[in-house]
Amino acid sequence: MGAYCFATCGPLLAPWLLAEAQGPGRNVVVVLLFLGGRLVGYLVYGVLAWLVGWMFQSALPTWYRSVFGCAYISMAVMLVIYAIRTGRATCGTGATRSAWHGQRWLRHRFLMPCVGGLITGLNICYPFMLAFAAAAALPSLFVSVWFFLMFFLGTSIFILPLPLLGLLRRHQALQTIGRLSAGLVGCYYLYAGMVIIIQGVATGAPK
Amino acid sequence: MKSKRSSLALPRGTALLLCLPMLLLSSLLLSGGQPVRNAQDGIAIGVTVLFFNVLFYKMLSSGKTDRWRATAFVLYAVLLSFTFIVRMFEARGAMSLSVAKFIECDVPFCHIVIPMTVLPMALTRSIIFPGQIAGGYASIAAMFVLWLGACLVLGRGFCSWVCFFGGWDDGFSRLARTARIRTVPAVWTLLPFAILLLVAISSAALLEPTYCAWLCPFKTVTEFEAVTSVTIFLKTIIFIALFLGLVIILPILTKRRTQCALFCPMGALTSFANYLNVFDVRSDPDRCVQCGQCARVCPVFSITPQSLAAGVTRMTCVKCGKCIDACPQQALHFHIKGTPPAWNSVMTRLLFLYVSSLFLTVFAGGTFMDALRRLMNLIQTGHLY
Amino acid sequence: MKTTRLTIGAGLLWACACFTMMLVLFFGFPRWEQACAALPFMKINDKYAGGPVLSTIEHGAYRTVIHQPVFPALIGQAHKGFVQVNWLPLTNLPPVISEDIACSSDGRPDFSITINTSSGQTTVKPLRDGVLPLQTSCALSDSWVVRVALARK
Repeated sequence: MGAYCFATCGPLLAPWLLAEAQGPGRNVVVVLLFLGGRLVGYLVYGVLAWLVGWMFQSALPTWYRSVFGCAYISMAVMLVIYAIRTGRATCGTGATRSAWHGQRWLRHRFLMPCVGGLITGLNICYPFMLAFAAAAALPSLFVSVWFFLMFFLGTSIFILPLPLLGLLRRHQALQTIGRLSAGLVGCYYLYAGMVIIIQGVATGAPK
Repeated sequence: MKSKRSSLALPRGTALLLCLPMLLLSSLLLSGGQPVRNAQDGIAIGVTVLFFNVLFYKMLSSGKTDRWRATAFVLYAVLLSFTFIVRMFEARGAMSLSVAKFIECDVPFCHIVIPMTVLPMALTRSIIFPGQIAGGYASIAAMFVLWLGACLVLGRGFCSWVCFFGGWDDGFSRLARTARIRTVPAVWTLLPFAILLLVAISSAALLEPTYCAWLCPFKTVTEFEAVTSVTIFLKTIIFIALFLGLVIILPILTKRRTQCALFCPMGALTSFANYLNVFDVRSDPDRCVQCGQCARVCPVFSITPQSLAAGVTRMTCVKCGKCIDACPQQALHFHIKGTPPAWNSVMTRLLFLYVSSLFLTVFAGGTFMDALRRLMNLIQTGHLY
Repeated sequence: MKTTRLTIGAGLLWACACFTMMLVLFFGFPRWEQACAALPFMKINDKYAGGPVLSTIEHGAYRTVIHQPVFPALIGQAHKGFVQVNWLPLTNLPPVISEDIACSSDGRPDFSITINTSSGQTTVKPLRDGVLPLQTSCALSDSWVVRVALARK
């Protein structure tokens, strides 16, 4: 299950780490921020699972999927914009500077990893759905939240090696490959988000 | 303006003499060392051997590489698709792959799957492809052996002398007289590496060759999943669009091999083999005037102002010889690592051409002979099979 | 790189070695192919191959071959998988096959399957938790195959 989570979150985080070209130490902070965002998402789900279990007898209403689909699409847009940002320009002194045009917040050192973690934490991959269904059947809010906390810890282990990508930061080409990969991952999230929304709309409003 | 005779051109007598080893080896390898069974076989083998050896002779006598290489390379791509499609119709009556073929593990394996199998192979000790391990048409073991061998002896020259899909965009890139799109941002030349990274990870996660399933444009000219669901219909739209865009339209507009240079993950992986291979392309600093003509003609964007200043090509060089043929100063040459630039360029080129041309002849020869047999069958009986 | 006689000699030797390697590759190709095929990782993943055979049930003119349930994953086992069942030979199959299939370790039937081999219509009736819908039911060249999705207990 952890390998599945790595496959879902890795393609989002790895390109970002490559593209930002920070050292392993800095990347640890980024990964921790990402995991923090993911933890918030999971704890929200812990509460939601208990609520759903209380209200709907452990079945997540299918039209709620549209919400997750929108989260995926937002992530997709962020990634694609990040990937096609203007490149570095050389000024007269020969030093390089980043030539952003209004998307500075996408490269914010805290915001992007946190939001990325939150949105991947809010995804509805099948390990998560299993956990959600199990948690919705749990008796109390505390137990439900604790369940998701343990689920988060167990699946986060696979993401911990990613800061080592910082060892590759000196290679300019790798930064570009990271950016392009982020854009491609964005295209995937766009497709996945649209499929989730279409499925949510097709199954209709709650009964 | 008539181009001056290449300094690499050999006198005709010498060229003919140097063709003899090639003639002998190609005849032996294409016939399998067996006597000819019937007239049809004899004609197929004879015409194929003659065709490749004439091209080899022209390479030696003219001193030009690319146009003769491309003749065989493009024809190979077209004939492979022709024979492949005929085989599919012969075996199952359709180009499309049914679920049954997947379950029977009877899907032909092509080299482009290789990057997607590496990670799962290491972790699951198995191949994530429904093909035949050995024996049969396009078996997995055969493709692995051929690709590894080609990487060792040719590096990314594989993409210009061996790959049976590269001829498609190589051919289309030669149709227009001038390029309508002259500049392609350098960042896009790294896209194949990004695609390689993502297909390797996604294939490992899903235990499915995701590039083959979703992106490979060459399914248009070989085989594809039978459209039985919306998802498969979507996949079909994607690969046809990619074929039209990357293999036909963009090569015509840019006069470059855009699928190979800007998309193919297999090309990206094989680029690393250029570090292992002994042959590369270098420029002679005494002759090079930095006119940039080589960079303008390079089909895979492997020559940049920076690489030219250093006298080398980038790791993505496919060793097609186009830059060498185009250089007005004849400053570019095939080169053996460890030797000075432009050192004994005639012998170096000869060594490279023996390796590359023989590889192309043997690899493509089977397809040529199959196509010839089928065409003769068509003429005689009215049927391709 | 500074070139010396040594590097020139080594380069030329390497280039000649490439030519030799190529001849060795092509002349000995069948052997190389067999050697590669014999490597331990050269087997098709169970996700495509269907898994090893668990049991065979004889029915006189035909037999049922039940494979081990497969839960393919990169590391360990996945939660969802499938079980493949073959009926062969194709030519000897009755018009309708109706059978209880046991594929788990307790030996009790897991699902009941009915196949109309003429029309291909197949129905699966789960007899325990964890049996999910039918994935595939079709005729192969020599057998009829069914893959039923399973969830690991």
